[in-house]
Amino acid sequence: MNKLDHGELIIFLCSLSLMLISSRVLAELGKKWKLPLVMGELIVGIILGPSVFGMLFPDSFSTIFPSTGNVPVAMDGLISLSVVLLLFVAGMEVQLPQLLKQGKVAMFTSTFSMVIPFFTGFLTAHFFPGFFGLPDDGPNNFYFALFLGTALSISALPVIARILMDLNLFRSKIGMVIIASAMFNDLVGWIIFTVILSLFRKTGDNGSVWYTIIAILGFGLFMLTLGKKIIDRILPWIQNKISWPGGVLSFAFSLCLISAAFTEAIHLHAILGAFIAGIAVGDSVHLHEKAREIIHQFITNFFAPLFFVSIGIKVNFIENFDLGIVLFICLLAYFGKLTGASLGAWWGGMTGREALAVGFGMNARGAMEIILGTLAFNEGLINSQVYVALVIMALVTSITSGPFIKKFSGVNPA
Amino acid sequence: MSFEHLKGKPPYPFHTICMAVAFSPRWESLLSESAFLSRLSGAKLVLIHVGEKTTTKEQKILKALEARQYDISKAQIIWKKGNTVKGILEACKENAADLLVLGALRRENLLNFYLGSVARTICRRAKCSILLLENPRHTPAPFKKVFVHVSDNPKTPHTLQTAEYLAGLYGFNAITAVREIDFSGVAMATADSVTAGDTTRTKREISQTEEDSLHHALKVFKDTGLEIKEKTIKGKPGFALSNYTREKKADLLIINSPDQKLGFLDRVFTHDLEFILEDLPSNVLIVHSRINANTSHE
Repeated sequence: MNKLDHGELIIFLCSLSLMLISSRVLAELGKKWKLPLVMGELIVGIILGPSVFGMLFPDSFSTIFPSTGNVPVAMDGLISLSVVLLLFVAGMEVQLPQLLKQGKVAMFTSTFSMVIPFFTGFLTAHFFPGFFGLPDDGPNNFYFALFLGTALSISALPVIARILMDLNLFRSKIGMVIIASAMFNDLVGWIIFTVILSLFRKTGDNGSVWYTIIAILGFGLFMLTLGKKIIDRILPWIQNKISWPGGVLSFAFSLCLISAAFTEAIHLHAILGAFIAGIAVGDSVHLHEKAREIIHQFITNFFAPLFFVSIGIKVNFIENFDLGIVLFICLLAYFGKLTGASLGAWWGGMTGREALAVGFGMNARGAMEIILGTLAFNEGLINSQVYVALVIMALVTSITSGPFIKKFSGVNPA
Repeated sequence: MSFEHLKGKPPYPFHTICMAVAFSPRWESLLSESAFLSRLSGAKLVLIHVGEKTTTKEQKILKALEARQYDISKAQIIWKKGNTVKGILEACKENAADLLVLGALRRENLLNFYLGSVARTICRRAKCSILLLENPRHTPAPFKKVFVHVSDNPKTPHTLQTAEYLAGLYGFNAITAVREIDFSGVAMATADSVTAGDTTRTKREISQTEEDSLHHALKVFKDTGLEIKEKTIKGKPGFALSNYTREKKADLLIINSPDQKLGFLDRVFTHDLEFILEDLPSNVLIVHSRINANTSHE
């Protein structure tokens, strides 16, 4: 069996430690300017990666972050686990009852804020692939167009929640509509993304479209109905009879991993299993708030930094920076989301200013966009230039979201 | 028939009380409760039966009323055909019912709950207040331990005033006003880069806001002799309220009617009222305020 030797283990542990401590330092610095945590983590990755450290000290870089041997394999395993857990925790915050409770305005906002960005991205990529550095008749252009549409239509719940809480708008009408709509966007966005990835992996297999759709719907329906009822029965027992919080953490994580393994085994993607398991666990009324906090803290402060720092280590951001693509993707992102979400909110009964505040709230892409982009990049669905542009778009939309919500909502706390 | 005059009408006092008669084993106890409330409020009693009108059935009802020494001239029997839920709702509307009294099992099996039993379906759709009696008594007695749910919904003042009205009828002198504090989303928003102190402060601020809102909402009571106890509870809306009511063994829980008709999806992704209907914590009064909550948020 291949395993890390004495020296490799030391390097592996040192590199993890370096990634964690430096991202924490930058995150704490960024807090002063209210920058999202993910931004500090990405900057650390860029500094530690081939863009800066690797360029200045190539030998030291290849020693700490070797590209051969067992260390990259171990690192890849850890990063894959990080993505699965990040999707699990993202799912935990998708509470579909919220959408039902918010009624018409949330339904309109969530639908329009998905449909318009999706078609903005899809049609642009389909008719003008050259803008993204793709050949006019590339074999994967259709999948790329589907992906871009999806990438532009998702939102980033954690970033939005944080912004709204900072502005004291979390419990306001605007805040509730944004959160409920973003939950729906996340749910539908990740499902569509899984369909795209599954189809892309099995290009040419005609039966795969229906198989993929039926498998996703079947798994989702099972987990969110019967699965959720079973969880509701098991959780109180675990929380009362088994050591706390160990019991509930073991249950939650094992359910996440087995669901991820199952969806991967039936040729969907592991992320779907983790995401849906997250929804089923997170929606349970029996999950103690403290347990939810522990799961969040553990994943956000250990696995998330490793994942986001690794992005900068893998990709050369300076070499792959293409101003044209960056600006174009940012433009599409702002146009699609602002038009869609604002129009939906306005149609749903909000005033013009409130609708714009909702539009800017929904425009924050944050970590979710980066995870989505990374998975697509790893699968070969997008090139490095588009990937870098998506990461930058995610950061820019997240940073600009807060000030614009403040401007249009008039910060009239609930 | 025009129902325009009903718009904006407060849910109290009760002028017309309807009761659905299904001739189930508990129907006579339910009739005792309805007649008792009708006497207390001076409201007309309308008995609705969905099914074939027969002399036997009619005699059975009249006999039961007589046994309760109820003045038959103040009662009316309505016969409807077809779908039970539709028939009952139609009769309530035609008679401008202020209250519909229904008997309901505390808990239904999963299939029945998802498919929707008659009583619960009516609760999800009715355009009048509903008194859902979990265990109707043959010899009724006034409710003593009464909880009222307080939320930000514009219907809440009417619900509180209805509780006050009921207190006058039944003679109870205390109510507990309950408000839920929902911390959902806080874990997500504070997971990354806030200190432990920040999280505690955020939660404290949310709790304080909810306590203030509860206190503010109770200002609707003016010069009332009622003793009002204020209580905030933490947890998911609906579920926390249901648990607390059951735990404290309340006789009656008074809540707002839903803002929109609840459907199958609301049962699958359970929230608010559905948690209460899923497993009745006590007798429940769903107060239907005739103001439109969706247009009154501003």
